[in-house]
Amino acid sequence: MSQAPGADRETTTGGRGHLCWAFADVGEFVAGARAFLVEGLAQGKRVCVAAPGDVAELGRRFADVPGFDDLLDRGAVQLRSLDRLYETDVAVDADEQVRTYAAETGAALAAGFTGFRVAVEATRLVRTPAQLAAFASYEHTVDRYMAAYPFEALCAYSVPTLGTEVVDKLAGIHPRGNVEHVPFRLHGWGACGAVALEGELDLRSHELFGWALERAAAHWGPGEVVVDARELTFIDHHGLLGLAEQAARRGITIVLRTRRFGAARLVDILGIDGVRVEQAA
Amino acid sequence: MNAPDHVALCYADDTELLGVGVPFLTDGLDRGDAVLLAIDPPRAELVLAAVDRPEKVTVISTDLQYVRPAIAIKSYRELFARLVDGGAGAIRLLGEIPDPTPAWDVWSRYEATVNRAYDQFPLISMCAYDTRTTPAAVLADVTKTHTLLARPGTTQPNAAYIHPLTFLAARLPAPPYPVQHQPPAVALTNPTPSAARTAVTSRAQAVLRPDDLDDLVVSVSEVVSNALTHGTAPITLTLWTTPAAVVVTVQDNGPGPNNPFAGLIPTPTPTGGGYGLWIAHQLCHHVALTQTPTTFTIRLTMGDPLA
Repeated sequence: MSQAPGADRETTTGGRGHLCWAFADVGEFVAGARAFLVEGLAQGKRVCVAAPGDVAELGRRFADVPGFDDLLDRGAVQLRSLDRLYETDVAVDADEQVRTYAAETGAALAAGFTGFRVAVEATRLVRTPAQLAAFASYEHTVDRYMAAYPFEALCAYSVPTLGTEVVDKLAGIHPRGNVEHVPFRLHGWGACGAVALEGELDLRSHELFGWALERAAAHWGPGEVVVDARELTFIDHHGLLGLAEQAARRGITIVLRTRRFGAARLVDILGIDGVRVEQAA
Repeated sequence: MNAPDHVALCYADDTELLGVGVPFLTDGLDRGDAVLLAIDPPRAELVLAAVDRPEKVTVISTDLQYVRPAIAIKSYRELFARLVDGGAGAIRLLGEIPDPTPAWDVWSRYEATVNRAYDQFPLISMCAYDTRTTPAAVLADVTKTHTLLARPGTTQPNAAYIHPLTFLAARLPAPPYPVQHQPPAVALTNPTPSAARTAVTSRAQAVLRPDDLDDLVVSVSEVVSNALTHGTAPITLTLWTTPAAVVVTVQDNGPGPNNPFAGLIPTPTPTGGGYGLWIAHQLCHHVALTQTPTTFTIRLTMGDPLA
């Protein structure tokens, strides 16, 4: 968890400004959120930090950001308490949540900012399996919005509260983040319904990928779904059979764009019908 | 369904080949069977010239069909399934593996596996071997792996036939390539599939074509995953390179698969397993399995280590 969020070049490119930030204590959450906040401010964006607890208390944690009071006064920084919003274990409504953020992004642009980014301490949104499933659906939906609009998010999750298994699942469905031992990323990519699959899929990811795929594929189709796998360095036969199973069950064709030869060979010898491999440059 | 008839035809000249092969095919044509011929082109021409209705015989390219055993089985199973779906009541095949001797260790596995691999098809398969060019040791295995022996004028049960499981259990392990006596380029203990792929890529990319490299990387990854899932630690990966080949062994300390046909026939499981070893057999130029009670070694070869 040493990498500062948003440290690499892809931060502001569409769809990639969506981070999974695993933290062990409040200090780690604040460190991640602060770096995300400072970077956003430098890019002229409005940045919102939302977390459980008292807003004044939250503000004190970021008070060392230069000019913090002024940033609050002119709306460049917003602080929100999630206490009232998330008192219950209600599951997030993906479309409703995306509409809310779209309105806030529009408001930020209208106020003269270059975009909107939000750092959310989202642990309490994913405590039950039903919440987790709903949130996974939301993550996939919001990726597509982010690909087309200047909206970015850092989703922070407490590892001690949720456990490694849950946080790993969440890490696999974010484009980026600080959970480096999760070897793949499956996320929405573009308003037209494309999907990105990055990293590598092998023995280590069988269970995680099955879970992520089941959540993501619920949004796919009809017809052909392009999976941009140019940044996928390896996929084993389990991964391909997983894609094939989704294709068969949902009556769709998955077009896997890859730079490697291996996937096409496996699809051929396994006689997989629902997945078409396209060689990308 | 019962095991298919698996006939050996060991012929000493063209007369013997035609004397047995032509009546075999003609009988099939008379019965309305699907009739297939997979022998090298010059001999195929001889056979076709002697058959009554050569246009009814489907000629199969031996170069494509017999690339290696696992591919031959996959390809034949797909072909037989199409023929049966198309209404064929029975299938007759006269085939000859082109130059089986250099890789006889795997082709002998093939011959022992044929009965199982094709047992859902109404097949009579006749395998031709030229006794002038086939070594005695290979011919000895041929007589052990075929249920029937054909001679001009007669086809009889083969008294020397032994059960495939007995035959496979008695096979000698493949001898090491000379390069395996040299210090390896890579030796890893308990590698992750990812580490195995990285090691293979870094050492093999100077030797292999990009598609062969990817095929080897996929195969090694699958085999290492199998070892981690089913094998007994420690698992060792060893890699050697020659100017024209890459040889990789993956060894674990378990007994290996208890299925003697492992790798030649896929054995899918509900969880998507059962394909790893079969994939390696499809993709690699040569695969050797060596089992002892306490070790299981898979050797994957891409290219020709003897070149």
